[in-house]
Amino acid sequence: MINNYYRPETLADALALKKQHGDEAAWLAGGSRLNRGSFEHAATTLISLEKLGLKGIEVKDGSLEIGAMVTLQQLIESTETSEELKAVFAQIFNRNIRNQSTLGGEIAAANGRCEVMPGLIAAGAHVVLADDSVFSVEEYLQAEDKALILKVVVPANLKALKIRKITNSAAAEPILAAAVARKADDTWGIALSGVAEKPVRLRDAEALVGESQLAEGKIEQLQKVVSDSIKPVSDFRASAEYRSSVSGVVVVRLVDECAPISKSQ
Amino acid sequence: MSISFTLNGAPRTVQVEPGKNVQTLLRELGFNSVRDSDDGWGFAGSDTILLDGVAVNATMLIVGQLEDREVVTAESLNVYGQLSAVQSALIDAGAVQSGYNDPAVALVLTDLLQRNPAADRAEVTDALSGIFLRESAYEQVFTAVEIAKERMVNPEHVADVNPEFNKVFDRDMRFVGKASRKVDATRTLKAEKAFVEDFVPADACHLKMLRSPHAHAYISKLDTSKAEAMPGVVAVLSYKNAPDVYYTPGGQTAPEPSPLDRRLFGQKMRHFGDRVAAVVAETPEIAEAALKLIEVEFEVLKPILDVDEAAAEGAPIVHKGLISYSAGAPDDLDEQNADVDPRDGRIHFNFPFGGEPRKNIAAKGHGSIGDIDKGFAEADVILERTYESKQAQQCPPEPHLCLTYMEGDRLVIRAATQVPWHVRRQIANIIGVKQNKVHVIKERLGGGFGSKQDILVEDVCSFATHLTGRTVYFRHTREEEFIATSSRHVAKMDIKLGARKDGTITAIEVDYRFNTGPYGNHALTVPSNAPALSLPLYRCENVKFEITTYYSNIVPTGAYQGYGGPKGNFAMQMILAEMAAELGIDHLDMIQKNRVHEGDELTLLGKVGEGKMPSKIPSASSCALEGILDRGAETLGWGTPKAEDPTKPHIKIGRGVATMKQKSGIADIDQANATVKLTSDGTLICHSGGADLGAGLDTVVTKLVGEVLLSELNDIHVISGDTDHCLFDKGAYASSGTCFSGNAAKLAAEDLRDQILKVAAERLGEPVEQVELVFPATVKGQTGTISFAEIAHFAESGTGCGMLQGKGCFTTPEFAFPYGANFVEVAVDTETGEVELLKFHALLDCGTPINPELALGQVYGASIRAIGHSLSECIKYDEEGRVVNANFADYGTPSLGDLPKDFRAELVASNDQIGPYGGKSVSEIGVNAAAPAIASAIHDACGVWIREWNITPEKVLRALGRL
Ligand SMILES: Cc1cc2nc3c(=O)[nH]c(=O)nc-3n(C[C@H](O)[C@H](O)[C@H](O)COP(=O)(O)OP(=O)(O)OC[C@H]3O[C@@H](n4cnc5c(N)ncnc54)[C@H](O)[C@@H]3O)c2cc1C
Ligand code: FES
Repeated sequence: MINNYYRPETLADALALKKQHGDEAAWLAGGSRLNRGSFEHAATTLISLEKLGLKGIEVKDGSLEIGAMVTLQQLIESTETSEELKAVFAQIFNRNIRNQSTLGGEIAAANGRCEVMPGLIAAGAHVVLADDSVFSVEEYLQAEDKALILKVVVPANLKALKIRKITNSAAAEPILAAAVARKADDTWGIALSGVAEKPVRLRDAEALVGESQLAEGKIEQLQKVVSDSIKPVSDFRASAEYRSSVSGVVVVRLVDECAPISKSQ
Repeated sequence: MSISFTLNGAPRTVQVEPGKNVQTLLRELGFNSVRDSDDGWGFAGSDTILLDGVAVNATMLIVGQLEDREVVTAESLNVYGQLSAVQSALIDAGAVQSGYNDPAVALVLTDLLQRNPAADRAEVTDALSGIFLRESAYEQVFTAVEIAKERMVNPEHVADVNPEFNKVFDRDMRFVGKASRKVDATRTLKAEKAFVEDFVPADACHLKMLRSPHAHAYISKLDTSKAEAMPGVVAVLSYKNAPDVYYTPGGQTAPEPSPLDRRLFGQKMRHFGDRVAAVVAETPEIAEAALKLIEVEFEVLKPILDVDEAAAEGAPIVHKGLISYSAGAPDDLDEQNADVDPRDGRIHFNFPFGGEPRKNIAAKGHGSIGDIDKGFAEADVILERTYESKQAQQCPPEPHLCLTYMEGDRLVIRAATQVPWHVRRQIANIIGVKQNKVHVIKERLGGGFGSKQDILVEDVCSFATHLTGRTVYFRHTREEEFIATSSRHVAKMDIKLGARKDGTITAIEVDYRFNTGPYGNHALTVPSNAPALSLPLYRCENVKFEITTYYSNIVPTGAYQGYGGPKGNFAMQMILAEMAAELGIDHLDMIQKNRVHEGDELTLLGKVGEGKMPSKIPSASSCALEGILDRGAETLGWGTPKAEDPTKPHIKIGRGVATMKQKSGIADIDQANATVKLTSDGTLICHSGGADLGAGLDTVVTKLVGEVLLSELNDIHVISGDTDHCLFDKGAYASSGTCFSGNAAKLAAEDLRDQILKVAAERLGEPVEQVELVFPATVKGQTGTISFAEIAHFAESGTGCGMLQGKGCFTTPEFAFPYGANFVEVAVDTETGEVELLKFHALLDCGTPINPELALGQVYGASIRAIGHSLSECIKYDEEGRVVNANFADYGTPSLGDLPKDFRAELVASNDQIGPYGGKSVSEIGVNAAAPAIASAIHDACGVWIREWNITPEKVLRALGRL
């Protein structure tokens, strides 16, 4: 039951309202999760972010800076967004949902099966919070307190960003989703969702791939590192065993797409 | 709070709570197009609106979010008396079936084409990606877009929809076999009041159900006093005040061949989601709040989740109530009743059909022809296999819902039902009144697919009104649809097949074990259709089968399109494919060698009844399988090289095929009636008992009447499914619509034609043999002509013969079987187990398609639902028998993103003598072959047999030995 609804026009007002209502208040972005039929939340006060002007998309210092209130569909339609990043957002099949969901809301919703998060994490995206502090998306997702996100910064100079999800049907939440990024400095980003409560970054796998260009002989080792780094769950979508086995396959393929694995050995 | 926004171009200010749901608000403001299929879960897009120019789901917005913004609903497209380019294109393409979600489709397509008049298929797909079309499976929407593009430039553009129909089916008919606009499409597409939800008055009470959290339990304590005391609560219903009447939720012809094993409320909970108690209250919010005040405790029992557990020694018993029979009680009835537990209520059989409740058996059947031992002795190879199916849900976009109210001492039921007469009979029985005190009005249905053949909301809603005198509205949530309506029976089938080296089948033996869940609606007839709709597809002299249907504690099952067909056919087609592989024979050659041919006597079918044996042995009097198999092989490229990519060795391509059949109503059991009357100006009104569930039956009836009476379709009005005004009809099931309800209308029209000719002959002073009907609506003799209008005027005059009305009643001892096949090409990823449908070609012989473009829509829709149960759809449980995925997305409902890459439906003609103008059924059959066609294609691709639906990536990977 919503008792109070505010549309503050300045950040200071917004923060003051939040302070006043504490845990009873929630930030309202697109509302696709907050208003969702099934989603029971304790908030009786909603503070709309609508009027805070968090709607810009611009390239700055080699990064794409995205206001928290930009919708996923706006990102797909923006000329500033790279094709590879567009593909990340387009993984949410349903256009109505992409029209409503904001990038800030998507991150703050912290859904462990979110297929967008691996792309952002692998790419090395950061969030900028109301107090100007900066956290990686991965750190933000781990944090208990979902502080107000003002903008999301995604490095724009990636050499490659490849994604893949496995799902039972197009509109279902995925069994697993993966992303691999090869960054400008030839370091790697590898992330998965659907395998744990929150999306995960696979640092061991990143290190292994980063050591040198991956050769065929290392494929099995990489698959094992991937499987070992996750502790997948079993649910009605698939067993842990399946997730474990297929994660490795998918990550290897994505690495190969980013930088073809040498088949010469 | 005051909130201002723009609504369809006009400024609006509303005084509401900012947290109010936008869909609720828009409906209250009279915008019917903003429907809802899933309570704000965002899957279905029935509630699509444009907010500041982009499509979103209204149910996921609160009114506060509308402030200063621009809202556009599908009503914005409506111009009185006209159709927009997109609206008319959708209708012409045959894309509109139930019409429930089609206003949303029209809205997003109009928006897309305004932004981008040349939108391509990918852009159309993206625009529609948020809208669920369960009935028509999208394919014809793409055709509609092409028509609309033309019409936006040239409003006079005439659509040339599937012109090949006319070539194939032109038998000198004016309307039959030719595309014409679906008669109810404009109404639903413009979101005029059409569905039950559109008639709910503001002062209606709302009924909400408290459901069992346990799959198997007794209620040990139930205290409803606090709920009853809550202001605004009108009544609380439970086993303590419900009538002590037992019935079957199955809407079947009486005496039903299903155990009468359900009471409105019982003390025993037999499935997760079973009814504990209901609250009737002034508002939905009060009803919800009162549910929380009901105090209930349970004695929890061990649940049974599959047939093996049900059959096991010492298994918990689902029905321990007092057993009784109307006729033919078994000798050991007293023994069976020795351990009655009164908390289980009662269980009644209208006649014996094998039920043994204390063994968890709801029904049994068997049949055989020839000598099975001899048949196996003649075989060179014998295969024995077990195949299984899982539980699929119909997923109509409109959930089950019902509105009831009193008119004097009569109960009015506005229902979304496939069986108005069965509803009337059953409700009268349950509430204890005579049938003339009950009036059932079937409104438009937002999809049924069999689930609305069962009486799942009308019973309790009617009781609530009858008890309180109040208008009551009961609407299932989507979760309730998944846990408390009828789904597809689950089957386990042991099949044994013998064949000679040359591929000739010598013997087939099958043991079908079906899981009916908590109640036995359709417990005999669904399983009986497993052999009936599969085994006669192949010639074999020695056949034997047994059927046992078990009770369990899964969520209810019942009628779902195809009935037992998809399950039985999975076993039959799969073992044939396995045998072909075993013998080294091409799968299609194996089918060709053994398949049924036109004219074959179907001896086995003389041995399978649906509560009553057929009075004569049916035959395949019309069958176009030959043309179907040739055409399918050609379109799929059967036997041609596969396009495997050498750089992707893990992607394997495979092809599969399966045949299918259905019937067109049940001979000697079903009946349909209709009348056609000549109104004062020579136009026609037909009262049809038939229940159009969105598939186009009213259009069929209109065209048949037009064809017989050579009248413009616009001059014919059909009133159907209203128990006060129309004559009895068995309802829309068993694929009977076109053949039974259609034939009844045709007979009524013929009766009226004879009367018209007689009067016309008298007026013209000529012998009746000398006069004939000519188009439009005229009788021509040798001396002159007389119009229907003149005839009507005379008939109604003071010296006339009285108003002319024809009546038709259709029954038959004959069967009209449609045939078909699915040809499939898949790509299997052998490292992940994913299966991609590259090609899915559905070919169907429905005799003469009365509405060819709507017939195609039926085939597309059935195909995608069957692809769903084959690959992604499945109700899943935890160990306690609780459903864990009771929503569209988690359940795996296919959406636009799951369409096969190359998806085709084609009709192949045959000449049938039973249906009207040779029309056979078209809808149900289409679900029967997808699973075996896909599974055999997977085998062709990667060499593994997957013997269980639904085929998930994990099952494929496991079968490949990679897990
Ligand atoms: C049918 C459907 C399908 C979906 N499919 C997918 C899918 O395929 N993949 C996927 O990943 N997701 C999917 N989602 C999830 C969807 O993307 C999220 O609901 C959405 O991203 C949330 O964004 P929003 O702007 O609507 O957030 P809201 O609902 O407004 O908010 C979500 C949460 O985030 C908080 N919040 C919002 N903005 C901020 C901010 N700037 N700073 C801090 N906290 C904030 C809110 O308080 C709330 O707790 C689906 C949802 C639906 C309903
Ligand atoms: S949110 Fe309304 S139909 Fe899905």
